[in-house]
Amino acid sequence: MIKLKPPGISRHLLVFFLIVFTVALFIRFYNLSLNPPGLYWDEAAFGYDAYSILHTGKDQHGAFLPLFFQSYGDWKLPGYFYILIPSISLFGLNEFAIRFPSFLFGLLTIVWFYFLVRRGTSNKILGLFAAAMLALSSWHIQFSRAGFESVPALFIFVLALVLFLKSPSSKKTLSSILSFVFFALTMYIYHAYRIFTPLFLVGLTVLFYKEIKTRKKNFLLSLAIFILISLPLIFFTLTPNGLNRASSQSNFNRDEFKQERLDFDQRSKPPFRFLSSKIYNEPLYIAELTAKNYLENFSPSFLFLRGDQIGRHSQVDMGQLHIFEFILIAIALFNLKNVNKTFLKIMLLWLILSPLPAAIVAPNPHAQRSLQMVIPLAFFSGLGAYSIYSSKLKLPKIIIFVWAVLVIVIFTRHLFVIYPRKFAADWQDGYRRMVTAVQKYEPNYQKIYITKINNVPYIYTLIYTNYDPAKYLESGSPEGFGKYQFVGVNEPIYGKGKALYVAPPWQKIDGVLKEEIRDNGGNVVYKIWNLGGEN
Amino acid sequence: MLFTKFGISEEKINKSKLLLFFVLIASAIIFRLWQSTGCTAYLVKQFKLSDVTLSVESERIYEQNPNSIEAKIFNNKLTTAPHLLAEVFTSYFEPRYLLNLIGPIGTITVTIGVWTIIKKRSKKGLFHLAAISLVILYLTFQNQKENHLIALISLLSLSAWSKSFFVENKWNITLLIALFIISIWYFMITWHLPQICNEIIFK
Repeated sequence: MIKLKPPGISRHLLVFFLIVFTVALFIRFYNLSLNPPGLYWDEAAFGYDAYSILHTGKDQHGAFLPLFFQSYGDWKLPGYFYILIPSISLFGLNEFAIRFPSFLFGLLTIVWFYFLVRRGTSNKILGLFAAAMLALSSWHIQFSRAGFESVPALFIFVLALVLFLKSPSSKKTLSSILSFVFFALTMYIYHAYRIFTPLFLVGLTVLFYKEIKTRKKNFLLSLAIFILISLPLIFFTLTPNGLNRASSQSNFNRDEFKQERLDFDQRSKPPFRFLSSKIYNEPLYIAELTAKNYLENFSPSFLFLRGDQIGRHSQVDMGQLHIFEFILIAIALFNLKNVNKTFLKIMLLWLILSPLPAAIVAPNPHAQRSLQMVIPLAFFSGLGAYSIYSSKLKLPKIIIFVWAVLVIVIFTRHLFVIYPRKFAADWQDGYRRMVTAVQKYEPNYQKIYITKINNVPYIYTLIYTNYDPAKYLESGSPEGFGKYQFVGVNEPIYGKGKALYVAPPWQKIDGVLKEEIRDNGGNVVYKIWNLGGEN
Repeated sequence: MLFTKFGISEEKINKSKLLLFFVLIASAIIFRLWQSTGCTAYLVKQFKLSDVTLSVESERIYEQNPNSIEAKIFNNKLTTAPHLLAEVFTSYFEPRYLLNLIGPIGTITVTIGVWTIIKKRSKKGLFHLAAISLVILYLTFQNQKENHLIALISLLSLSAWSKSFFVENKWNITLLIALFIISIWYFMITWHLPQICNEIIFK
């Protein structure tokens, strides 16, 4: 075990942290509106609904200040919509405004994570190392550069925990109540916290049982407020819409089980075939699937080498964590005795519970649903880095430092040079260019048809034309508004006079090609045609 | 406590717990060995230099100028080879693979074993871990059916370090028995090794 250096900050260390945080700030903020290359459809829905609420008080479906947003029928939680309103009123309806809150809450998470570690371990330097690891975390950077609701939810959770850690020793009830209010709010921002937060609170109650016992009234009052705030969410979950949402995301599809069972019966050999119905029933299938999904979140390939294979959730060619963090975490494991036991238990509890929300839904592993893991992992990486810093051996220090710098350089280059080209399709890139091009031709046409082939083109048209939400609520729908009509590839578009048609690139059109729209990767994603005229 | 009341000494109880621990682990190994022979298409992952060349070429496609010095600095065999080697190496530690290879009982006992080594900072344990890592590293270069059997025995040997945890108290030994029962069930449903034969190998 390495004896950690006493928590005093030297000038060199201060300069080091300043450089690290400046680099992290640059990586997180640079070119925010254009990288990731396109606005993903969930980001687009957040943006337009928030814009609509800002101007009319209603979402795109006409619901007044809704608590749950219908969106595309997937019933999103309200947190990110309302968080977006100030940003959109300040910066207008664009990619930057939709992503800025995520960036900002990402930064605030780093600050509060520092306070959390400092409070939990009474060690400033460990706090700084842990915060630095979070600041440079590829997992956290990936999500804080786009409009993902998991980022503000994580911030609120960290804030709630800081207040909770303050409350057992505090005589005032305010921090305890605020802590539980924030814990409850996390469940209104991102779905994963509907499972993670209650379980974590049970764990915290067990860990702080003695302290809670001495301040029983304080705790019960806070808990009552937590339950009270959670009630609308519980009621919503039990409505048909809430149940539909749950079953649509769930891993446990009865039809899939039946199929699995059929496969199993066909594959199984004697002597166990006759036992098939007993040994492979639904509860056991669910248990097996959950256990496997849960463990997938700890896969070395997912964490350090390949990451989440959904292009929006990682750099794909790299792990969720930087590869050198493997060494840091390994070193941290040998130095756990340096850390306050209770805080260590909190971090372990956090790590163990984090993958649970992801384990019961598909696909798996899912970096967004298990983003909570990033906090304990950054803590252990930070502890490893601090241990190396405290070590008297110079060579390992230099080797790991150089390796870390190289990895960060490669990651940064990949993020800004390769990623926007390679994963343009994952971000549905091309809509901005398409709508801008269509607007150029719009004055010459009475009717504009846009293909629905790449999902919900209406929302992108609303966003990039900054379409008046009041007008949309009055006469628009996902099928069309104003001059715009959103059509399937087989819908009749000929013989209706002069029109502009935005078609998929592979569709044969009897018309005059006006323009090709390419995504960031250079692939043609749309072709704009003139129908029934010479323009 | 109950047994000591009946005049059975603490030492005897500990010995019987230890015996039970080894019997359970040995049964798990026997089950797995039997199962391992049942898969006819027993292919393995192998680190190949040709894969490195292929990977470098496929990555350069995304460079603005694939032949530029910058593209060559960031995509070359020297940087790609360790990554691919690490991928093949860590594939032996993937949870899904471990579950199929050493079953639930093996996965849990090996994890607790490694944790015990770290906790105790046992030099022997660290040497054991290093030796197993070398064996697995050797396997990453091999293309033989026996790879899985060697990995099975090597990895399960780490279970031995979990014995102190399981014989510590009655709850832990109960957990071990529960794990054994789960493993038997798991063995029965994966008897024909669909994951190892079809998913891991062919995907």
